[in-house]
Amino acid sequence: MKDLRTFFEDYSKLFPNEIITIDKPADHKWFASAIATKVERAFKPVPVLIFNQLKLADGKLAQSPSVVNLLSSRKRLAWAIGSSYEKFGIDLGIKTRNKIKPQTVSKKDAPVKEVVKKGAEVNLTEYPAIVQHAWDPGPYITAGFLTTFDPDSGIDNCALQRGWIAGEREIRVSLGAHSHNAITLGKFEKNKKDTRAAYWIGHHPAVYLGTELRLGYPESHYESAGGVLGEPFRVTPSETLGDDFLVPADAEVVIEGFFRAGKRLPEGPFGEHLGYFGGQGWNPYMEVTCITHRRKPYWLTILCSHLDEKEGIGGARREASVYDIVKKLVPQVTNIYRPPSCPTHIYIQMKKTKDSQPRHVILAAIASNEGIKHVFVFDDDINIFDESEVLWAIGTRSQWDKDIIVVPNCASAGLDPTCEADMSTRGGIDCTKPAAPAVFEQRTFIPEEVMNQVSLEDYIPKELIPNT
Amino acid sequence: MVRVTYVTCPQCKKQYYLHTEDYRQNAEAYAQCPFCKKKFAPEEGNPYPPLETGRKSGH
Repeated sequence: MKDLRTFFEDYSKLFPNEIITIDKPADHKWFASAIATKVERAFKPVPVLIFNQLKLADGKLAQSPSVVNLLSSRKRLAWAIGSSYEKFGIDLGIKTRNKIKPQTVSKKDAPVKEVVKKGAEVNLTEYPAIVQHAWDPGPYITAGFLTTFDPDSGIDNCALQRGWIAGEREIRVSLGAHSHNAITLGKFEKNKKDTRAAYWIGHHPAVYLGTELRLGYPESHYESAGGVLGEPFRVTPSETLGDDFLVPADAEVVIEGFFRAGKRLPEGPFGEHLGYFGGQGWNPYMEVTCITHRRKPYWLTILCSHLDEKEGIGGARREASVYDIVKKLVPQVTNIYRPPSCPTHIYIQMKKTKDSQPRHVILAAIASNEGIKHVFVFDDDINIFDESEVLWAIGTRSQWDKDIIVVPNCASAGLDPTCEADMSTRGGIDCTKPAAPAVFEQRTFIPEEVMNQVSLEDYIPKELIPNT
Repeated sequence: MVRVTYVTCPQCKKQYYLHTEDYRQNAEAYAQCPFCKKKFAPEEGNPYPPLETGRKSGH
């Protein structure tokens, strides 16, 4: 059985310097995120940070640790699923398709039930959630999967959706106009019924990757989590939402509650993944009925607009689902990368055989996910993981009167400041050479045998050579 | 159409913004200052800029 604790144990043996524990007290409001930001700038690769003594709003120290940066490294996430940096998106897609039915275990066999608090016993402000940005109204759940069950099929839906801990038993939630949880909520509200829901926080990174992928609706995220984890995802009955509402047995924390039909409250503003504050909205909120957790649970936070979103899980969740769709339509596609430089961009590499193929790739990619705004298609001699090569190919292999596709009035992810009324213009650039038998200029090169013969140390003093 | 509308909290006088559509469509919706938690009607916060402005020139 794999969970966050087995991951820490395994990972720290191989990469002991990539998990740093901070014992000095740090305020949960801004200081934890400031420390993490400075670590992000100073360390490559960025380590996981575990704050053992986070100071909360009431001045007391939290009784459990707070974790950031777990999901911020592509290398770390690739390792977690047995993949490589370059093939991460492709491998994640393959594993996601290998769905495994979840396994239901009894409550007594569920570590997440070590501590159970119900009703007035629940006080969410005791837990080490972080206030990340200057305008955030309070601590947010950002690494919590909001989970609902479709009332028609009974199938689970899980998504990382921000939740402001606005009180001891109140979480105000931003669902997003196009999210599947918003569809479920709408179905219940149409019948004037409350929606049962749970947030679950802290699990093995493979579970985060498998659960966060964009699936169809309704389609079980518990099954895709098992696929990526490589074993059945263990679930257990909830405490206050009924035995048919299953929650992860091996999570660190589960928060149960109800969205009351039609009820809304102000939520936000909040520093979001595109690097801007999302505006305050009139959003649903969850009345919390219960919290269960392990003893001294790890409270995990995703630092929005930081490496989690740029380099880590934010890219992975796009790559696997987009690649899956694009590859089915255009088999000549060979790889995909959602670069850390911009969350709305995606680079696609292919061995094209016809000049029409990159255009199909662009159209398929922008249709596959509302988070994809700009698609760039490259030949297979371009290293799509190297931004300087990417920009070189854009500059030397595209003519914008012919190679740009612009599609106005598409659905938008909602947080892009240039969008209007949830509509976005999307498109792409074909940065590929003409297909054979057409001719194109040869890229410069030095004979390979000469490159292999040359060693800098034979010509330049070793102490002057960087990175040796 | 503007996506966000700046408001000034009538209590602490700090500025932030609302998601325009949420507040345009819901007459009962009120704002809550993220800094001092004061609840107020958006009109009390001198919403700025007025609706239908705030776009890049040339759009």
